[in-house]
Amino acid sequence: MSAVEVEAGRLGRIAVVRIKPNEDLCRAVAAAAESEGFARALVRGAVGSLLDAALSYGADKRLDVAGPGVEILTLGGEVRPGLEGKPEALLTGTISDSQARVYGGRFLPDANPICITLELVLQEWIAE
Amino acid sequence: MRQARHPGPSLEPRRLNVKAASAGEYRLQLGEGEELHAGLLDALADLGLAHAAITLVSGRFAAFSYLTGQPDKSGARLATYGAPCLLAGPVTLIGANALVGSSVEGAPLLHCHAVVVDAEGRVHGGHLPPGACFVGAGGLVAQVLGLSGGGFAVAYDAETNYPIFHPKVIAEVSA
Repeated sequence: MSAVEVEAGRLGRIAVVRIKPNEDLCRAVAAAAESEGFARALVRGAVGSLLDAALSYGADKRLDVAGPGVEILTLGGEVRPGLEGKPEALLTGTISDSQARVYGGRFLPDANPICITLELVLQEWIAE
Repeated sequence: MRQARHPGPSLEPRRLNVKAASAGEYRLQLGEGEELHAGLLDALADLGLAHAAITLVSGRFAAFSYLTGQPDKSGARLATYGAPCLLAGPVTLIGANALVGSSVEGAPLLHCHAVVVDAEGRVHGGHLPPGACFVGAGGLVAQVLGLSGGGFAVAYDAETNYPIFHPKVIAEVSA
């Protein structure tokens, strides 16, 4: 038996979003999808910055990068129903700090406040 | 989670959403020597797209420039950009996201952040200024999601004291 879980589906509606300062990256991306009625969604584009950043890597390591001026270089990920059916955003990407050092990992919830803005395009994933 | 104090008042709502639909998906390949911003915006104009989300997929730059954020010592804003950092090619793309919308004057505008590796293997990344990133040998591939019904347009944000992209309802994409 295959260990691969296959979900057939298609891309659906699109939301164009701005998230304002001090909102948490993961919580706000999930909330944006939920408010559009997207139970599942993909990040199709995102450009923005963080006040401070916290990324996870390894089994349980945490990297904290202090700003302000942390640039989000790339952002990818999806929104899925989490425990109790509430949408959760699983986001990964790369950032740079004010000394131009680059880091990557998975963005931790409640630990990545937006600095100036996050410009975001989300697209609904409709599982069939 | 630390909270920032911006120069202006905190403006509600904290999240702005506009509905949009796909105006088509395209794979573009910019040729060697093309300037990134102009090359992408010219190609989108030819496709009749004024609003889009773009993922840079692969490619190299012959010359590359980027800006990184830093605290704004003047106090006018919470964060600002430092001086441009210039890299000689070949610079290899690792990844990049870009959004295309309209400026205050209604002109097309591309906002792009990227992560790259230089000819010595060092990783760099930041905000890409227009007019300074030139495609290298082998070209540069971009995947474009065109947007209709909704997109981004620059508006002044009193909270952060920056003119920045805001979601905007767009009646129709110019064909």
